[in-house]
Amino acid sequence: MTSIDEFELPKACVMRVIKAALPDNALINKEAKVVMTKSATIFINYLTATANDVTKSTNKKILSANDIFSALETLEFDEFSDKLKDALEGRLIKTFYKKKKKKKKKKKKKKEKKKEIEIKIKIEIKFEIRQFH
Amino acid sequence: MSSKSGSSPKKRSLPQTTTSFPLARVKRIMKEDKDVIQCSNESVFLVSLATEYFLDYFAKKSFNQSQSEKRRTVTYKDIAKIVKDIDQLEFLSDVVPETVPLKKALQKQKEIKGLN
Repeated sequence: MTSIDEFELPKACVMRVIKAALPDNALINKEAKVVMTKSATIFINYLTATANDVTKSTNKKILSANDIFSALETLEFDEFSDKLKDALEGRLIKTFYKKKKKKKKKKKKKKEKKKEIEIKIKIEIKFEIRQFH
Repeated sequence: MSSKSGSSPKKRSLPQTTTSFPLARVKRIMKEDKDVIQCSNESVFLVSLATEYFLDYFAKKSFNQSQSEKRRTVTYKDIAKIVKDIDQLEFLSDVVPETVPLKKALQKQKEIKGLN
């Protein structure tokens, strides 16, 4: 059963970001917390809809990173663009290396498992031979 | 981690490559819009991170407003005020309307009913 909370960001995550933005002695009242969580969701909707307009105007089906950057400019939030570009670059590099590592690990695991099976078979054969004596 | 050399004026810190929000949830919220057919993983990441930056900005502005009234607790009133004052936040004006005292609201209601 999907509750309405699943269409909003988890409140704890939102509060974590907000607490990091404010000095330690700052407090937020209950109502304000609710409003901030809602505002974050609305921001996502707003940014997505604006970016999707760009996607549709270029006759594409997939909402891409560039569409997001265009949308941020339209919404006058392009002050975030530089940091976002750096972060995206960093993430793409990270993902690339993670994939490479995963491939290497998979190959190693396969080799090790093969060896393990060979040893098992050898032991089983020895055991069976013993049984006949 | 970052090297401090006398010649480089800017201290470049490592970029944030993860977000505080679960990407699956962000994607679900994005796809709530029936017009959106598909979104790339990068775009979901960017939206999530942009939302973090937005919240940072939003929280700071709200707190500045509270501080201007000599308080350290951010209230609904503070948020409503900055949404009204800052152009960039106009999209939130339906979500965070300014509250009106009950008397005024009832009076307004009477006026509207009188017109109909």
